[in-house]
Amino acid sequence: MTSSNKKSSWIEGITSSQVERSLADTQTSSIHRQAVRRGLVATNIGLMVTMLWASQVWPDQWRSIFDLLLFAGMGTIYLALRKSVRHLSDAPNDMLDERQIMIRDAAYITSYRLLSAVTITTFALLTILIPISLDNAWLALYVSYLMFSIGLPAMVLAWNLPDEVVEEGR
Amino acid sequence: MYTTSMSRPKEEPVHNRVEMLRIDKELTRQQLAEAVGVHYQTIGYLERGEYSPSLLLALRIAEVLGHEVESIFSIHPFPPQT
Repeated sequence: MTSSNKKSSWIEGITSSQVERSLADTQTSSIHRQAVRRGLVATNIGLMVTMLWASQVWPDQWRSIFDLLLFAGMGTIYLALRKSVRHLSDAPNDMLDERQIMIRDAAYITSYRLLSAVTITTFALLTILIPISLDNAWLALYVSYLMFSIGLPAMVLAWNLPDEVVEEGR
Repeated sequence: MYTTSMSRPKEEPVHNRVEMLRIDKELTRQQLAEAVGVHYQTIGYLERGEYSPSLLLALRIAEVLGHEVESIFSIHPFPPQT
């Protein structure tokens, strides 16, 4: 399940020793409680919404400082969130057991669906709010992304699945 | 059925006697986890019925606990121990 080398997973931004320390820690602190973790998620979303809201209503000279503070807050919460799930979201498969891989993969499936829905909704709102003509490249981008987003899981499966087994006697 | 749920659906539980047999064997969760190659939290979730193991993990647990796999895991509830 675990490997003792000190390699880094650069894409995930994590080292093997970080994951090992997190998983080997048998102490359950407050950050590992579900209510605290959910509080972190809610705060993070709150900070993101605040940043979007501030970009519309705050004067520019104050906003840059405010944005910097919000960015620092989001960065801190991101690191705390990773710690709260013992780095399961970023750890490579060879350091996790079957249950951890299963819950991590389930989280990525949910994330993909949420991300697709949010992106498509944002595209749709922008298409409505920004005056464009129907032959605009924007619409082509939107339709292409929509079809890519809803079709991608089936495309990946279609590409990866081996030939089906033929039922005996047929 | 393919599901994205993080644990087996409640209507399809796999019952197990891992906790009882582990205690009989005087093993901690950590010791059993190390013996079968998983995290100790996985043993905890399994004992609480919140995770159903793969066939490979079930066979490894059965081997470490020294029982047949079907005497540890069942789709039917085990009779209460007296």
